[in-house]
Amino acid sequence: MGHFHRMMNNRKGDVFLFILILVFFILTLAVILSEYFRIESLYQQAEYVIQRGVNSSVEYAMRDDYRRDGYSLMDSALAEETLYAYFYENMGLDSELNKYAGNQWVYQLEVDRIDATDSPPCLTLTGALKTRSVFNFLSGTIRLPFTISSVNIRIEEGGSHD
Amino acid sequence: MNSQHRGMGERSSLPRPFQKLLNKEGSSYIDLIIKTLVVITLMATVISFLGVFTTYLNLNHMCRRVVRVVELEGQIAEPVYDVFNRLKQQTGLSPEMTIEDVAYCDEQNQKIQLRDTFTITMTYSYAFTLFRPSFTDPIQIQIPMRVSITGMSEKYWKLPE
Repeated sequence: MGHFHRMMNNRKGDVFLFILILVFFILTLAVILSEYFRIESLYQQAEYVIQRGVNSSVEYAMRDDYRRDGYSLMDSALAEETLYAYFYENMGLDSELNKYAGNQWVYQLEVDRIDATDSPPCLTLTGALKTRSVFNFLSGTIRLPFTISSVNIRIEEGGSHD
Repeated sequence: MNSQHRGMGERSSLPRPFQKLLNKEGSSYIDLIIKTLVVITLMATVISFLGVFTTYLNLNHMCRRVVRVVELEGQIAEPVYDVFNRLKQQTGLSPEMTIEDVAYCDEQNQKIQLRDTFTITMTYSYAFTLFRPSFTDPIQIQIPMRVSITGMSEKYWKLPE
């Protein structure tokens, strides 16, 4: 403590303190950058996987009996049900939509709204990805909102196999 | 003074080209040349290694694109090989592609049912040139690269029962 006090009052100047401050800033900047890229990568991966789920739910819920007559219709209830099945079975989320890698919690999927329309066949998922970062003591849980939509208007295929 | 005299005597006994090496008065000129050479060598090494990373990134991009096409098509068919060949031309790489861990719902047409997963692996051997002597072939190290990406079919195949 005495040494620190002497160092702070030293008017001749000491580069040691300056180096300490510089190292602290460089380290903080490096941690902020790496954390930003980690979260960005996590967000993109999750968004990609969710988009795939929304696409496949629409594809599965298309009503082929209407498609062959030139109409594009979707069973919206089935699409929603299929999307939740995808969350649990394919994304490996638990009942509260938490994602774990081994025993470690990675993120939680927060579903705000699911809008499904029969015609045009469209499924829109609005929600957020909740995750933690090393800067939790500053910001708490990080919330990354997203809106993912899928539309299927293809009528030229399907329904040919009775 | 005595030591200076001794030093001068030692120096004069060496052949002329080596006398400069023992000169302790020093000129920063030689020091600067050596440092510049070291920096240039380091930069050349870093730049040549960048090629390895670029190739790996290209291979990763190729694999990702091909996986996406298979996901959308739900089938290992002509469009997949078209994209693969076009990417080969664009990047100048010629990797080998294998499709693994796949269960086809229609074996003959290689159709993958909705939400069934598959893995595409691309392997490539990057030739890293160490030296390029004029009198013989370049001396190269082969760096093996392997990218493996898992995808999931987004196509629903309604198959006859």
